[in-house]
Amino acid sequence: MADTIAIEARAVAVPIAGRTPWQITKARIQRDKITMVALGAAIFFVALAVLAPALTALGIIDPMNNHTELVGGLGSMPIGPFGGVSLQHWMGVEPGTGRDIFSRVVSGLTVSLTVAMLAVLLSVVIGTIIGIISGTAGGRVDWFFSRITDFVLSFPQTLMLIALSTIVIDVLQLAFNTDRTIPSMVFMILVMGFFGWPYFARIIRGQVLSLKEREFIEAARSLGAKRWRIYFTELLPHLWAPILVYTTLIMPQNIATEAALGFLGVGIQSPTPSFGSILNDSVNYALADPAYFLFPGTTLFLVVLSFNLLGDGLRDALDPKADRQ
Amino acid sequence: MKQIKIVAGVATTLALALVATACAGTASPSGGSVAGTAGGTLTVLSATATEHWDPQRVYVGVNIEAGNRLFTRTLTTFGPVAKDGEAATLVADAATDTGTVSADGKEWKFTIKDGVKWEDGKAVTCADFAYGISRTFAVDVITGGPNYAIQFLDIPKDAKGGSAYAGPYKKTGQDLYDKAVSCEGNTITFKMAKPTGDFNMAATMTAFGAFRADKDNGDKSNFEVFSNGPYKMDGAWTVNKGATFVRNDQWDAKTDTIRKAYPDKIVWDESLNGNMETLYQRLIANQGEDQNAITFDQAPPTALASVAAATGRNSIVASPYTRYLVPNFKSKVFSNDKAREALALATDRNAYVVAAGGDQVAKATNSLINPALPAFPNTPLLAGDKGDPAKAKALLEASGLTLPVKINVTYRKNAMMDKAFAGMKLGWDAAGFDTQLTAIPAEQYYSTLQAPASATKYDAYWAGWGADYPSASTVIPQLLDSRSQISSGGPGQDYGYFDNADFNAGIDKAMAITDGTAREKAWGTLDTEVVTKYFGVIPLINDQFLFAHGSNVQGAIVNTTFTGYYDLANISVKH
Repeated sequence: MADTIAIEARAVAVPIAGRTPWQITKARIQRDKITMVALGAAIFFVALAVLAPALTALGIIDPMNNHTELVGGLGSMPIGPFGGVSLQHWMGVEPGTGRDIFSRVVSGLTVSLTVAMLAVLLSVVIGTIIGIISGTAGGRVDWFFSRITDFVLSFPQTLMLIALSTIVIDVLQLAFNTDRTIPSMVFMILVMGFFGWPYFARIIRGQVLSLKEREFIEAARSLGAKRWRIYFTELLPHLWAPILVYTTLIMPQNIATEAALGFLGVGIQSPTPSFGSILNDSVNYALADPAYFLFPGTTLFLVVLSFNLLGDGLRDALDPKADRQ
Repeated sequence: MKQIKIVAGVATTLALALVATACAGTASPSGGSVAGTAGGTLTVLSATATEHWDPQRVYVGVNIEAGNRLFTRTLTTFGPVAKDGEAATLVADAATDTGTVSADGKEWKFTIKDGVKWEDGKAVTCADFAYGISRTFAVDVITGGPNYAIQFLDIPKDAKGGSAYAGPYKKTGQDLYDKAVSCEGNTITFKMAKPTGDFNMAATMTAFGAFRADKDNGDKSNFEVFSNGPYKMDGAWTVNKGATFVRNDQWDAKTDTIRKAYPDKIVWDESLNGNMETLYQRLIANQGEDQNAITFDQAPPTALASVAAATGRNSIVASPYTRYLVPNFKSKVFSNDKAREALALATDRNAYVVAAGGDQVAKATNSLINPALPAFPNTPLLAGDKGDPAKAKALLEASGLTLPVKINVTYRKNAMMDKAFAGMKLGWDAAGFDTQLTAIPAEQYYSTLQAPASATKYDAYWAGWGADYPSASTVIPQLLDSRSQISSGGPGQDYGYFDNADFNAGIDKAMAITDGTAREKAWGTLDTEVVTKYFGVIPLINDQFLFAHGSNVQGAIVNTTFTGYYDLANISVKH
């Protein structure tokens, strides 16, 4: 293990000042160029997603209106090279309607990121609660929750999504009395969130198992602290690191799942744009109008990549044992 | 007709006459009735799974075409044509002539030719025809096919409105059927309930074909072929795979003026199973065996440009369908006359045309009757092809409803329709509607429309219809006669519960007209009336079908009168 030796050698060389864990983490991230770029990209995409509704309202981007004069010929293909790329339409226009692809990709980012993020939040909340309870309680409670975790993990998530989608979305649509956009988003959040929590639960449980033997927990317990105080005041602050890391890692997975489901036709419903619905349509034009597939496809790739690299970087920075320089 | 069968995005009623409207019609190079080359193997590439081959259960244009040309000879049929889009004439097939009708129009007689034989060498008799047609009445077993026999024949109805005859399996009311359909030597006589001047056109459907009683296995006969035409099935049919049709040596070309039967073998390959993109990529690439291939699947929008570029190997013809919008008279919004008019005024047909692939493949229309029918009234568009949302908004404000008016519009889900309806929604929303779109998968689309529960759920529906044979008698009454369509079981094909006593009286009046030209004109007038006076339907577009075939295929001509697909009668393979 030559690496270890190198690290030790360097560790000796660096003078150790009194730094908080946060400062250490920050310094580590700042040293890691790839993570910094990924962080910048992720912030950019999130900002774009947050701003998209405002940009639409102001008329700066226009994801919905047709520009039928920009498409023509048999099949209503975009007029002009690269799928009708122009100063007004940076990524060209959609075949069949002339809608601006850039605007649709930006609006799609809002939908896709909202779904992915809320689904992760749901997973985190359920996973953390179950992980902490299962890790601290031990015994039968632990066995019970661990089996539930295994059970949910072994469920075929995609099949469930496809099988349930029509019925559940119908019910939600009736309940909300809206079009299918919101119900399909809620459905995806619920299902992806529900199937995502076991990953968190397992990791949190593992952390808790090692933490609960530590002296400060022992101390709290011997002072007569209540169970809930131990859970949330003593344990939880020590779990932020793994939660943050896995949130950033599950996030791109959810974005990709949304795109995959849209591709299978059970995702966000037209006319609302999302990565899934855009790619689902554009893949049919892979030969006739490759630009329509390439622009949104590349954007999706960059979004997923930036979150993945950010997650990796965060893990390296937050977990001292995994310093892989 | 009681139901439109949908297979992979193609509504599947029988097609009708198209006259000279076939826009940009590209004649096949080998076109006309030039002599073909006998022998060789023709491949039919299909991305659509066949649901039935049983002649009485077939209602899909493709299978009516193939069934009739390959193995089920009917009393009459439509002859092949010399080029795409030409109108075909009604000719005798298994009968000696196109039938004789009594003066009151209620009795039809056909005489079956000598020398028409089954594949086991036995003659096709009058009794085989009577038996075949009787199978339609077994509605619990023989499902899927047209029920014109039940509508037309003079057999009383039972208390529930069904026929008093229960078909050849249960045999309830057999004497009633034997009275309505009788045999005298080789002459078959049909007694009609009402004057039916165009019965010999309905008789072109394979549902009016012969079936041998000793070969009838009920539901198990669904994919069994017992031929009396030039081809028979070699082995058994495999769903999603297909089978090969080989020559039937008992078929005598002398008895058949319609089918040239050039290829030795016809391989029906449906293993592409829904993948029309691949199918057309293969046809356009034109490699190896695919040079001998045709298809009955229309080109998807993504392939339109490459199909159009394959000159000499393509056909662009008018489809027999009209795509239209039905306001639901049971919904709170569209029971309001002004709201329906506003919807009609605000409809942007241009968005639909562009989404469908441009004005070469779709045309805006304001008539329910297809332009190919003699009855086509060519009603002018109310506000151009883009609609007039401003005028519609004024109407909607005067309707007494509170704006924005929430409406829920359904359509049959596919990528093209998503775009078409997203575009039309913009027009409706600009007129003061708040449109929710509900896309329903193809396989459950029409059953959803016909479900009684939908009446209170949706405000307007997309639908498509094509005449079964070239008469508007198969359009207006089938879609808008509330008396024959609406029941406790749902709206039938009157999806929007349009129920108007004056209009129904008009239907009765048109039905009673014996002169064909005058009757078709009356249908046209009723069409304009329902569209511009009652706003009971909002016609949207007529689309065109694009097909392509391999370079070795000769005589691949689309017969728009008969089903609207490539006609197998004259097709041959260069080899």
